[in-house]
Amino acid sequence: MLPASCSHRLLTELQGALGACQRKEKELEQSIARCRVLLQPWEVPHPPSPEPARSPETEPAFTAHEPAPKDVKELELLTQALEKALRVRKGISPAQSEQSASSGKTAPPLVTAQTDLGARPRTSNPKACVPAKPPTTSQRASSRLKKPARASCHREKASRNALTHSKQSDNSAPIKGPDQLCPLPSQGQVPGLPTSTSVSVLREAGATGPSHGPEEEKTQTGLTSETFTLKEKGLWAQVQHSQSSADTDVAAAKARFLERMKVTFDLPGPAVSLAEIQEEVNRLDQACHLLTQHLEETLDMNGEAATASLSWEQEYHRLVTLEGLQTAVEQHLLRLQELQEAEEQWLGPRPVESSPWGSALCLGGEGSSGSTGHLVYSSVQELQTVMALKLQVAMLKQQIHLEKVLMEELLPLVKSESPAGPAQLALYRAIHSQLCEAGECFSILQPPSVQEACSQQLRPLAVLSRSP
Amino acid sequence: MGRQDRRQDRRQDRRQREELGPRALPKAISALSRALGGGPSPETFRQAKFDLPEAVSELWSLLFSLLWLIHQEGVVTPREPPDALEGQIRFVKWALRCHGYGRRHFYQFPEVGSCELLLAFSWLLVYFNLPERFLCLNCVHQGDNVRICSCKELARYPVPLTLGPKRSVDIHYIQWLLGRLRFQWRSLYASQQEQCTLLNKIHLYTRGCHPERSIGHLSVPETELLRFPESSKQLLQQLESENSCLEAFLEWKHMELAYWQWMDTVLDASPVGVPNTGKQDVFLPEILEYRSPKYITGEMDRVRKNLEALRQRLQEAVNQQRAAWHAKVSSCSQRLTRLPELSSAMMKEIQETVGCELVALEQDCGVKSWSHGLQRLVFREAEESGSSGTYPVTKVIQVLRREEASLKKTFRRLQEECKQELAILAHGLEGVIWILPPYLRR
Repeated sequence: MLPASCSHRLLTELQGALGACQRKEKELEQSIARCRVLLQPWEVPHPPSPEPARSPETEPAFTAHEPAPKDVKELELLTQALEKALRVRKGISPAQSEQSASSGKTAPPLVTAQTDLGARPRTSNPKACVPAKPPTTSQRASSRLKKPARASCHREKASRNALTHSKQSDNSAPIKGPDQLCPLPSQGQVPGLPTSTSVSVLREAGATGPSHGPEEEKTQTGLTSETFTLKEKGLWAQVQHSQSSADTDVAAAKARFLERMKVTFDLPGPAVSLAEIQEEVNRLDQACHLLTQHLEETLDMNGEAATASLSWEQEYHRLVTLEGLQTAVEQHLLRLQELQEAEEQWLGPRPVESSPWGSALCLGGEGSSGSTGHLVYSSVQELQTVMALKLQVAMLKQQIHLEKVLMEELLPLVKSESPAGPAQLALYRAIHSQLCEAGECFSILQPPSVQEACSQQLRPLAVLSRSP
Repeated sequence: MGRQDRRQDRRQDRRQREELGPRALPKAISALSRALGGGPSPETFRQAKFDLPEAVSELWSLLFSLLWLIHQEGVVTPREPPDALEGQIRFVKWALRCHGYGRRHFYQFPEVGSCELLLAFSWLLVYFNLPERFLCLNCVHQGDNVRICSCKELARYPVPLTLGPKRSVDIHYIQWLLGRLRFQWRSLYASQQEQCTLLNKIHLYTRGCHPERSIGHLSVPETELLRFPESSKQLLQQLESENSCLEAFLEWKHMELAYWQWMDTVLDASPVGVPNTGKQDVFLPEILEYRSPKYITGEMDRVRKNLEALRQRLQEAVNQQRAAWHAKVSSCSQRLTRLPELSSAMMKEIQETVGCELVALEQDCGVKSWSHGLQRLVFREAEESGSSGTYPVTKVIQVLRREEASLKKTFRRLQEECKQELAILAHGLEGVIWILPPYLRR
């Protein structure tokens, strides 16, 4: 049995690591479940008409169907709500119409909101085929969608559709919605569809014959998706613009206020606050990690090559690098010492740990900006590689941390106790396997008494092979 | 936007500010309140300036809601917010103390004046860059967002131990737990690969559907919107509220100066340096209440040990390298009168290069080359030139591979150390045969 304090610490660390892994597993499971739900065939109110050009794909993600009347009503309610939202947005749109670099349309103000979609097809793109047009020419625009470049399934879909009449009665209000979501590939064989039209597909669908049946139901939510993208793009861009063009007067006023407040601080305490201490400790941790990485790379520059083979420059480079790293580490340690002293002032002399683990409230931290960058990948293997590497790095960090903890706790046991009976030897064997082989291989320890007993055969204990 | 436009913009901004009249302040305050998701009215602020008690409770709840929101970010185990006013006040005082807010009058107990609260609020605005941060925290994300850096992945998850501090366990139990951990890692790997495949499928199927050309396909949340149209209403509400916050924020930005000028007057008016009247005690919040002391000091110890271990390694490496260098120099100088290979100019050059490298390294510690924030995952088949704000996955893979290699080396080194220690022990064991397992090279 291990001593109590040792057990406690080891258990804490291990349970923490296991908890983290379980949490991550749960996140992944949830994400997988969500994806699976989406990839199943979507439910249809009416049986889908037979589709002649069914692709070999086994995932008919979206099938054609007619929208039920209640869906149509919902649609209308939703579009009215969106109209209202768009009107709100409209007030800002003139200010940011200049930001829509890719548009250049002189569309009416209502449509201005749509221009910064950036979905105007470039002439070089053969797939996109819809130029932006004002709503009045919606019909023509919709027919343009049926470009021959598109798969023939479009036309078949359109002709099959019996939407028109039911739609016409319901869509009385001229809905100048934002640009439409392009219809989703229903057969899964269409690699890329026209990215958007500038007109309300609802209107088209209601007014014209050739219309998008399956897209019908999607369009209502398409409006939503469009809207939010629009909104985000417009207002957030403005926010960022306002942040970048920092106003010096305001900044000066704020700085002055902060200074004046600081002067009035009359409570005793070290200059650096606890939050700052924590941030700096994190930063130093990261620094240590990076310096270690740099050290490994420097030492490994030539592998096991003999020193003679290194050129003069390389030798000198190495020397200077190592010395530089040394000074950096010294500086960090000094800083850490200062932080430790300040922290002691804050927390007082270290109290006995009597309270149960209080969940650590994270102090401060950076808020992420509203618009995020894009991480672009081009094949599923790439995505898998990058995610696997991220996980691997995190797991290695965990492993290294646990190894250090185990070393701290178990090696003293090994050194202090004198070798006694088989129980002690079992302990050594276990420690050796854990620390040196990551628990995957076991060594054999034959105590003297057993050797005399079974002289001939050494009963080999199961040697677990390394996992592939 | 051309320079012309920018200049025009600035002129417009300045003009708008000069137009600030007496009505500007209430408008600014109401914009600020709206930008923070609905706060107190300008009247409350006015009352606070004159230290009227009516404003106290509103300001407390404002301070609490903001601080609680900020501190929920990145918390591993979310806690329930205290709903009683007293609990909230305690939390606010604790948080401000941890961030170094040191006005004595603020920590008075039991009553704190509303003027003090107003000052604390304004201090928070500056210190946390609040209206912006609030917006970013409440931003509605609709993409498949991943973090590039892996520091938050598998962050240690504090679990309250059922085991009392006195009980002890056997080494085999520890081994069993470690075995479980290994299995967990493997299953995590498999699950993640599966998730990637599914994500990629969805991206492939929804190609051409996103209005933004640069993205081109839908993400999982966006596809869910289509699949379950009912959820779009909720999203719409969220977006509408976000919209109004954003608009209020932009309004606030135009009129911010008036607010800070007003705060100057508040600061002038507030009694500074008034000694404690004796009735009110200053009750400093217990720092330890919300944070186990072991946590902070534990972290520091860990970092210190790592740095010290690194220092030791560096010492050995430097000594070795210096010896090698001197050997080389001396062997060369024995044969020749001067060093032909390395002139002093070149030495200086190398020193500079190394200096730059290390400086870059240090800067990396403060600010990563890419942000810690979330990035949207985008699938793009063709090789397009990366515009700003897009990170190709290949670069990330390179960096991660470097990190992985270095971490593996560190791990192997630790294992070697253990082997040596235990080998020393093995020699000490009398009469025991210790057969080590065959070392299979991976």
